[in-house]
Amino acid sequence: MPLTFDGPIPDFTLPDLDGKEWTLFGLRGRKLLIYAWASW
Amino acid sequence: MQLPVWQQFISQEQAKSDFVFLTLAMDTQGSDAVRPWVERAGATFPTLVDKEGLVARNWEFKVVPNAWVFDETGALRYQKIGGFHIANEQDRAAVQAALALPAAADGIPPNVTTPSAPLLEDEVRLLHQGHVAEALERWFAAAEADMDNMIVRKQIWYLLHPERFKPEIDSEWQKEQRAREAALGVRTANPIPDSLR
Repeated sequence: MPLTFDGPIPDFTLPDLDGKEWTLFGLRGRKLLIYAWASW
Repeated sequence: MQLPVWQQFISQEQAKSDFVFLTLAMDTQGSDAVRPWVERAGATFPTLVDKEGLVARNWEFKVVPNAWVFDETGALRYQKIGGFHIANEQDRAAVQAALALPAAADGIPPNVTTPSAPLLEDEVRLLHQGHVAEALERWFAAAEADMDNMIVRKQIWYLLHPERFKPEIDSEWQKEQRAREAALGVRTANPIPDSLR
């Protein structure tokens, strides 16, 4: 099952293309839109 | 490729309202595979590279493209797994509606959990150590145990058939390859050339 609307949301920390680290929970306080894709 | 459409959408929407947009590239080959697409789109938004499939495992998805909207409290307000396209009228309207929602009322918990290990961590390590065939064998086993996992299957294809992905993505070939894998199994349909052993 993917995420649920009332269930837990696991955090993540990942680098962007410039090597800067982003943490999901660090973005709290603003609305957030995420798009997942792949070059394939 | 949706990135150019996203760039246009984000320029318009962020002029009207405040939100963070980022993309998540599920590419085992890392930044080098991802960067050309981002540059070609003239993207001004950040793209995170999830080469070990950390988010795929923890958020439990096996396909892309996907989109999510979270509000200020971190609560999930929109999710579409597979087949999301920002150029699609319905998808775009759903995202706009979710972004316009007020923050969830008090009492919604912050939903903190401890992430489990990434999906492809061991295989990516093997790849980088030059043990390509070993990484592939693990992926074959994972794909055959779960044929719905297109993230794993496409990593296999990308590694063994790079000419089908660069410079252009051969969708017709992907369709044929899915049929071959359904008939023969993933391992048999993807012979490992001696050069990778």
